[in-house]
Amino acid sequence: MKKNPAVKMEAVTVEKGRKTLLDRVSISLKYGSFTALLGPNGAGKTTLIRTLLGFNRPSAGRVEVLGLDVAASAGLIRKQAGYVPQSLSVDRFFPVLAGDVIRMAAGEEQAKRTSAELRIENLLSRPYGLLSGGEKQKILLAMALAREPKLLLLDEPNLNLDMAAYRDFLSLVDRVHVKHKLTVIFITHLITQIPASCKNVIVMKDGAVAFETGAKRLLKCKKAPELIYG
Amino acid sequence: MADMIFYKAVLAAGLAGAGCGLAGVFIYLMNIPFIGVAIAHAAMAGGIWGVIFGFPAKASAYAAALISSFAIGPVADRSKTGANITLSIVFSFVMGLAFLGVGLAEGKNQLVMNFIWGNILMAGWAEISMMTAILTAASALIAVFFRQYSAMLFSRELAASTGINDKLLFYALLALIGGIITVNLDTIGGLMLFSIIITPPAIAYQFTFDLKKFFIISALSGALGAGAGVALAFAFDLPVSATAVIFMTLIFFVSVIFSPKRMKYGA
Repeated sequence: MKKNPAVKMEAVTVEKGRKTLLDRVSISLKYGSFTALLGPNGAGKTTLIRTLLGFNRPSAGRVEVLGLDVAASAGLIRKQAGYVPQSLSVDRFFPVLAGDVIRMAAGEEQAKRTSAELRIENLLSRPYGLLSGGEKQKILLAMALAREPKLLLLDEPNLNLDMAAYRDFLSLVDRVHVKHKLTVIFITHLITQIPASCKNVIVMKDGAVAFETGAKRLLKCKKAPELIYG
Repeated sequence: MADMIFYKAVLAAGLAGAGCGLAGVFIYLMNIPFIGVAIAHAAMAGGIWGVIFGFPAKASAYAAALISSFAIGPVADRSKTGANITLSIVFSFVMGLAFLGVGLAEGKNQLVMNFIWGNILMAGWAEISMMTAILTAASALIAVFFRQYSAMLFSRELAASTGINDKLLFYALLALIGGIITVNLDTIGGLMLFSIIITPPAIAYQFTFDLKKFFIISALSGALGAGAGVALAFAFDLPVSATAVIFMTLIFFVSVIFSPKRMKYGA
């Protein structure tokens, strides 16, 4: 395990026009950690992830990901990070097969290996647009993992999934986290949807970190919903 | 002599159709139809104003196409509905410039009209060579960067998140679309070009879920549709560009009726 943090934000502020999207956010996440970013809609969770990938430029503060300064090395960081968006809906007749989606990010061999690991070989020859929500998310997860990333960012991947599909997806994430010792950041706005492997929770509110705590502790706390959403 | 004109016209139409069919895949799948029509009319305006000021018409058209590509690129970057509305305003503006030029180009009407309606019968080996060169360049760019362009067509955000330099590739693509449009402008005509850009990918959309095949079907249907349309115009002594466009549109309707995708998965 490396000593330096995998993700480090120091008093980071991100603004868009007159609106402050992130307000002096400071976090530090260890290599191999699994962190849930929790908070109501508009709390700044997605902005935080996009800032880690260099899509948003901070107006103040410093961001380091995998030992690299985001301001100078966003391209390098993106090559070592896997990102799964909320949902990616395309027209159902869009001309792309599920297997091709994985191959967009990696070579043939890596794509095959990842598909076998996630047990999704049966989906590869099917059109992506015709897959169910859960199947689509598995393909996007495979796309992110096929490049053997060091950091996995999941932006509410459960948004359009039913409970069974969500549990199925979560067990996949848990498995790959444990097996590959990946650093994972998982966004969700529901306290009940924190994955089992997740040990650390950062609660965000109005663009700032409200508090940071252990997942078990938060789940046991009766006042948690009030603290998060109140 | 008449045979040679016929063969050259069919060949030029086929090459134009194939080139526009490739460019059209991006315009169709990125849902930015106005980018094609805006660049086509900017090239048309550039060519017409080049004629008025005594500059080489093709060079002026390409310069205008390039300038418009890079000017509207950032707009198209934001994509979808909002961008299409802005692009339609840009299109109206360059169309206004083009027709203002038409009004002012006294005594140079034939040259100017070629940019609007095209003149495929006058396609010579020089034009055919340029069409072949731009088609080869387009095919090479797509083949070399197929993985990156596939990712961009699927999702620009996701492509960028994997470290693909989507902006650079998108601007390279815009330059190429500008090139394809300019090279084909005075043979096919600015007004007809849009149809040859947008119809072939719409035909391909009916047949395949495989993106590689999609590119091939789009290029082939563009080539066959335009080439056969020109041949039909010769056979029945009809206006060439209009016949080619109508013929290609008919192919589209037939492909919708017999679409294997629609038959298997419903509309």
